[in-house]
Amino acid sequence: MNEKELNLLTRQKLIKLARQQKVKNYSRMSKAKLVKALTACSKEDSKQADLPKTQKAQPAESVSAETKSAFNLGQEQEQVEGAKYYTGQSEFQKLEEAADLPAGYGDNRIVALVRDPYWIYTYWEVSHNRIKQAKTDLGDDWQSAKSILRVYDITDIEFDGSNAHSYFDIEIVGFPTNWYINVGQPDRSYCIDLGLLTSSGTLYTLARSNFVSTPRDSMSDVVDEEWMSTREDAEKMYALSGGFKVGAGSLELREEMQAKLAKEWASGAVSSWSSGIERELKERGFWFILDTELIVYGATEPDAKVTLQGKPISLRPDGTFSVRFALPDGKQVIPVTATSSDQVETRTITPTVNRHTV
Amino acid sequence: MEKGYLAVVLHAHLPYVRHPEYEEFLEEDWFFEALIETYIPLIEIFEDLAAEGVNFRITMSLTPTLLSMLTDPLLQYRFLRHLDKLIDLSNKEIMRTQWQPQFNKLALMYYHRLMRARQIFADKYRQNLVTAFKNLQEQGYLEIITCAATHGFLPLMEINRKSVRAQIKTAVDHYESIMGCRPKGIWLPECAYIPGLDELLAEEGIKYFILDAHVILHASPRPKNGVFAPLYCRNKVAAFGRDLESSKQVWSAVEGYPGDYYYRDFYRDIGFDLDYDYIKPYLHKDGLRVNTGIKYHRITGTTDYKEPYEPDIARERAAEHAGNFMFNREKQVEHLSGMMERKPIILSPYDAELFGHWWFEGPLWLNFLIRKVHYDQETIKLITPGDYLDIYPMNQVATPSMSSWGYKGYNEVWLEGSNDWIYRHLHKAAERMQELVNLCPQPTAFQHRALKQAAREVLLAQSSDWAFIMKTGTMVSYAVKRTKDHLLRFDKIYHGIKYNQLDEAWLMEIEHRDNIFPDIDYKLYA
Repeated sequence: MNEKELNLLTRQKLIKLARQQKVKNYSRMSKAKLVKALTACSKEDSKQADLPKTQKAQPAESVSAETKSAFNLGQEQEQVEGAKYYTGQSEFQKLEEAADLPAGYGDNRIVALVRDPYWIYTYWEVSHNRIKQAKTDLGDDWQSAKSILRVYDITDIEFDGSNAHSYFDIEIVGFPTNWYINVGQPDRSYCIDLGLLTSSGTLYTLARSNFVSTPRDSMSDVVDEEWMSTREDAEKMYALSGGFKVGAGSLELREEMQAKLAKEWASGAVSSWSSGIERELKERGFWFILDTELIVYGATEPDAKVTLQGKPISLRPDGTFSVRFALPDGKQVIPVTATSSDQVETRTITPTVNRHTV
Repeated sequence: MEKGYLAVVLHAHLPYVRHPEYEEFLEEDWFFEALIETYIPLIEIFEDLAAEGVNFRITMSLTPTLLSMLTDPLLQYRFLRHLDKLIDLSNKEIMRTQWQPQFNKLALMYYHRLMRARQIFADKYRQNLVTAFKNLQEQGYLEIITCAATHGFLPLMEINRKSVRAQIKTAVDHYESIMGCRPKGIWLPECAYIPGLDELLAEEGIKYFILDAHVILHASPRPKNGVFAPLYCRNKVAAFGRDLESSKQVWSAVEGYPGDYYYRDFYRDIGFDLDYDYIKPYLHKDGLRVNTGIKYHRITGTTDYKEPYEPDIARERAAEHAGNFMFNREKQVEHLSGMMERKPIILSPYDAELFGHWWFEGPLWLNFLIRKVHYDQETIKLITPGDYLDIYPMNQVATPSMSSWGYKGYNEVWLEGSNDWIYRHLHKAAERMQELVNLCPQPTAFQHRALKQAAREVLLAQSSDWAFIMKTGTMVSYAVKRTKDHLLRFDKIYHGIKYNQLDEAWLMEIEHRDNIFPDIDYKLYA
């Protein structure tokens, strides 16, 4: 089933599916979460497919952000935060669609945004004039030129276009207007050129991005003279702040964090409370719920007083009434008494109901 | 004499959802549910504790969007209407469940809770709960801090620094107009920080903000005291780090307290469980089943079979969990105090809506915790980050990296395949806003109105909630629509001013719909 079809099912049906698919923690998921989890099940390695564009060329040391998570509370916190927006329905049907936003603004620019220590997102737009200009400038080279993104490492320098520490190119195929770039290096600064690489190897720059810096992903090497502490002490505090073993180097600490994250926090896989779930998983998906309710209704003079099992009930202006009860197994004796407003006349009717579930 | 401090920080936030163009609107329920389950119960416990003479200090951020909704007459009216409908339903439930004592006592519980909420909201505070929070701050129990104007995700706005500044300055001015003083601290939306932000905070006199643990630990130079003391950024604004251990105990649905099998289940709701014809009058007009907030079952286990909820047992569990939380903090403080030259601060930040809405017993747990800290021990003391800076004005100077408290610790939740498309438009709108302001140095009265409205639309489009919702998959079409609506409204004003063709009737309608920040200073974008 695709996402659309899943969305049409009730949460309860999704729960059954989730159980069959062995989705973890399914009983605590909202409808939208279930749809998401189930959609993910149907395409195993959706992680890669989810990225809008995967890059062709990658720097030598490519590190996936997936395995380099910081030790924070992650998905569980997201679930709790998401609950704030959960009303039981994942979509509101009656809204009319908003009109479309413009596809472009006629600009000539490329913008870089940092996603995490290893990835940069970039979007761009090239104006018609710029393309016309490029055609003229490149002449014969135009036909053979390739569109590329050139990613410069400009850490700690005043970049002038030619003094980068290093750079790498990513060839752009088709006509995308954004790209995720795996720079793989925390705590470095980057600038990106969108340009045309001619067959002779020269880059014709169409647009240059803003400068961005990736954040650090581990303990700083810089030690504060004024607030100096021994290496051991610093690591001790670091460990205490994150709950990790003392005496390990920062790389080991980081690996431990990741292991901890993968083991305990990523999806709540390990839980001391999850006993019994194995048996549940073997159940078939079909389900059936049945409940009974009893409606007691009647009519009398509009100004009369009516009690049911001794408790007063209110009448509608025309003297009718109706009361509804959840009906459990067992016998219910239901005396209903009407008394005239002058209290002269009283009538009692006593239905008795037996519910017995075999 | 205490050996260390505990700072509980509750971040109360909802995006601005108010739709006068509809008679009723599903997403307004976010606010109504939070009022019934979180904000009112919190006010209630804080006031009870104060009346009893229990000393406590709690930090709360009330975001500008939330403050605006709390003071909006239309939403106040609609909340009361919503509340009265639920009271009617709970009344019917008392009757319906007469032959099921285990549910009947719950129906009664809901009825009394709702009636009490009505009393606090309508009678005591005449529909304006900001008064309650303000009183608690003035009496010294709460330290109320602000947030960015519409909870914009600041690191991804940095390309247009004026728009970051507008988020902060609009928030601080709005806070002052409502609370009567300047905020000491700020909750950065999603704890998202980017180096240089401290400069803008310092401009507004803000003393501190809060970051996730890894950000403090990876600051440069190395922090001497881990997350247990604040760092000063270059501009002498303090960054406090969250304590992971205490965070996890409350945040985690699996390992944390809220997953206890005796606590109330969030997903089972009579809006879905009961016969359609019976429940229909209490649903929305289009008849879709939605949550009513009346929930009769406990978590029970990882099965979908759920036992009836037993409030007395849940209450005992909440007391036990509060005791456990306090015990762990005492141990933590005792251990730390041997290693630090000052008293440590353990800072535990949570979404306020976690308490009561997601974790039904949360407010009760907090109540027990505050009481126990007051009566049962002397190792820890409740404090606010502002108080801590008064005690320790000298702090290590270091620079934290760009980061957030979201999944994986950086920007990925708000910048990924589902939501990355919004940024080119948001950036363009911010840039054009600046262009507009500079285009009209001497605006006519009409242009002045249009410029103010344009600034509101930019801010509303920037709410991080929309990107978050697109990512998590709940109510996606609403988040997409809100993003587009505000951007398109901005676009229309932009072209209207630029080519002098703005329709006044249309502008009036939009002013009426997106009426947040009546005194907004659009010149912030100049």
